[in-house]
Amino acid sequence: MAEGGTRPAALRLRGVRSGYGALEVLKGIDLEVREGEIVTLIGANGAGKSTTLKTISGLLAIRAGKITLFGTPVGTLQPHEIVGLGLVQVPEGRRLFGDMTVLENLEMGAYLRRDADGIERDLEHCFELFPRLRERARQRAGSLSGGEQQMCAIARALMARPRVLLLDEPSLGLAPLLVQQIFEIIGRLNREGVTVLLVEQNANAALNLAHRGYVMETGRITLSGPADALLADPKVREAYLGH
Amino acid sequence: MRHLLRFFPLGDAIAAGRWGVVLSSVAVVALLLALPWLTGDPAAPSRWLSGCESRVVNVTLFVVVYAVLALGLNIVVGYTGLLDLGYVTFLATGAIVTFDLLLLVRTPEGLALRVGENAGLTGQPVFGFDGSIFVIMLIAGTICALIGLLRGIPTLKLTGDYYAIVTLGIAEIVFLVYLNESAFTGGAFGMKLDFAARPTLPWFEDGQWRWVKLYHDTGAFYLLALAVLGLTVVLSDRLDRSRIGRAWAAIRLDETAARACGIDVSRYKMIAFAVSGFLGGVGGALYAIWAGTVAAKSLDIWQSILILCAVVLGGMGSIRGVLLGSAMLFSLRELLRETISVGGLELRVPPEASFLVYGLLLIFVMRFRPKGLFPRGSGESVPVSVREEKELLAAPAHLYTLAPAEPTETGHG
Repeated sequence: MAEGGTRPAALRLRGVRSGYGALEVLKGIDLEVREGEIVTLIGANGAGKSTTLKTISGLLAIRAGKITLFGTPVGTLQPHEIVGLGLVQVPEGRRLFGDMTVLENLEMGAYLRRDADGIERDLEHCFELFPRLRERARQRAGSLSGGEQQMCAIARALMARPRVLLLDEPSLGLAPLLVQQIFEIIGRLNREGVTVLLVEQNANAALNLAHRGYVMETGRITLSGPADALLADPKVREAYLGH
Repeated sequence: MRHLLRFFPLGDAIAAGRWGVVLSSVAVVALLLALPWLTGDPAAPSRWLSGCESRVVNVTLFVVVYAVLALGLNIVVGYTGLLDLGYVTFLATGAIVTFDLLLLVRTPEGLALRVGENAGLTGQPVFGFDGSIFVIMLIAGTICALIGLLRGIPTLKLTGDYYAIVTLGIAEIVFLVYLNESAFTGGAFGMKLDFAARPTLPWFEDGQWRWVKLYHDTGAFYLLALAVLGLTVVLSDRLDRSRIGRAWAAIRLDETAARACGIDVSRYKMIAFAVSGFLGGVGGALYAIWAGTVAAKSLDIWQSILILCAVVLGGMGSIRGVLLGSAMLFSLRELLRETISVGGLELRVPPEASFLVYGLLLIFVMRFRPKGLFPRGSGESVPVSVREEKELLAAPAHLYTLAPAEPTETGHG
């Protein structure tokens, strides 16, 4: 699965540090996602996985290091500018607009776009990926079940037509069957050309889906490599796969 | 046709055939226009004009002026979802700017403000030209929009209680500045618009057009206030349904999610602050003409609270709600000032106690209609039943996706 070694980098982090107040969470992260890849970032609670995603998407200010998106430095850009460059995050905990309908949520995802025809096509594509959302289109997003909310959150991100999609714990709180569903969709999106950086606690499912993986511990990358290799690695198996 | 209709406040209701909404709105506008005639003296040369001097029209005018302010506050509180406790800053600034412009005179020694000890000065009013009220409202609005932007700089990153506290603090600072800078506010004594300083509007009278001075009981001023309120309603409605309004809604519901959708949160908050400030300034200008006198002392924190109460009472983010809330609260405020004679006893609510009544009113609204009397429409949303949710969790995978299910290795789990 580790093909793509010659592909250009979509997203590259070099020595990235960031944190909250006096607390430095990321202590120099090096990470690379090549075009067309699914890369997963696994690690225990508090390792800094979500902080990494927030720093990439600009929600959290970078303190040192460099982030490039398709060669463009994005470390100092505002979140909306980064979305405009094609990097979209599905935030942790879904964060739907609860009082808006599902359809309105999806429309919000396309906020920066002006191509009405393209938006219409992508909306149809989202409904094809998640038929439940079509049925629920006129319902309040806040009234959806957890799985539907996750679908809606992913679909909303897709409406921005991302080239790179960041997913933060899409499996959190979902029944195993739904997790499988969501992961299948992520795989399909990747085959359609979307580059994916996936943060997961469910290391097994994530490594089965991804091409490559990074293991994070207390703000540092401690291990990286092809997903197969990580799955076979005794340390990873012991710490994250329950063997 | 349907597309065109959307540009008008009632367009959606007409297109959707919600005739109840359309008819009641038209009826309210017609009633407001006919109110002076209804309350006028049938024997007077102009029944409509004589009605403008009636108590009912005067209270209505008071409500209309405050409704402009309440709709202005609603931009930040109702649309953007930030609790602004310092809106009086805009009312006070708008009113003081209006007074200063109208009291600015050109004397042989140069420009002077007829304020305080200079009140007796005579000279050529700089804004004494006919129709200057429109220029003054624009200036007052623009200055308040700039103050809104300025106030936005330190508060941009704040949400919830922190935003409320900082706006409250800034309003107190502005209040003290106005109270003490008596050179341009009149300080504790305030300012007064005399006949010479009154702005004018054209009026058709005795078979010809002429410029009439504006007082709280001038028909032209009543129509001006109604027109400003009408424009404010149209502006609010258009903004609410524009791209800007969608961004405000997103910020209100979840700021982080709004950022993730590519919304420039800072920019849209600043737009809200500027628009809200502008309307506050225009409302302040109307207030100045209506009141005729202003003392910085009376433009205190309670004004902020009262306007906020009108917004919350009617329904945050709902134009009809805010209008209804303003009508109820501000006419009640005037009613509470009345003295009632019962069997020789003069009954009157002390001014300090009137807030008790507003407080009770708010408690009842919060208890029985927590989203306000006329809440913002929530669309055709229907909640999912628990049963449906259970079915969802139990249903086989192929129901959710058209993608061919791929075998997933789970051997390591």
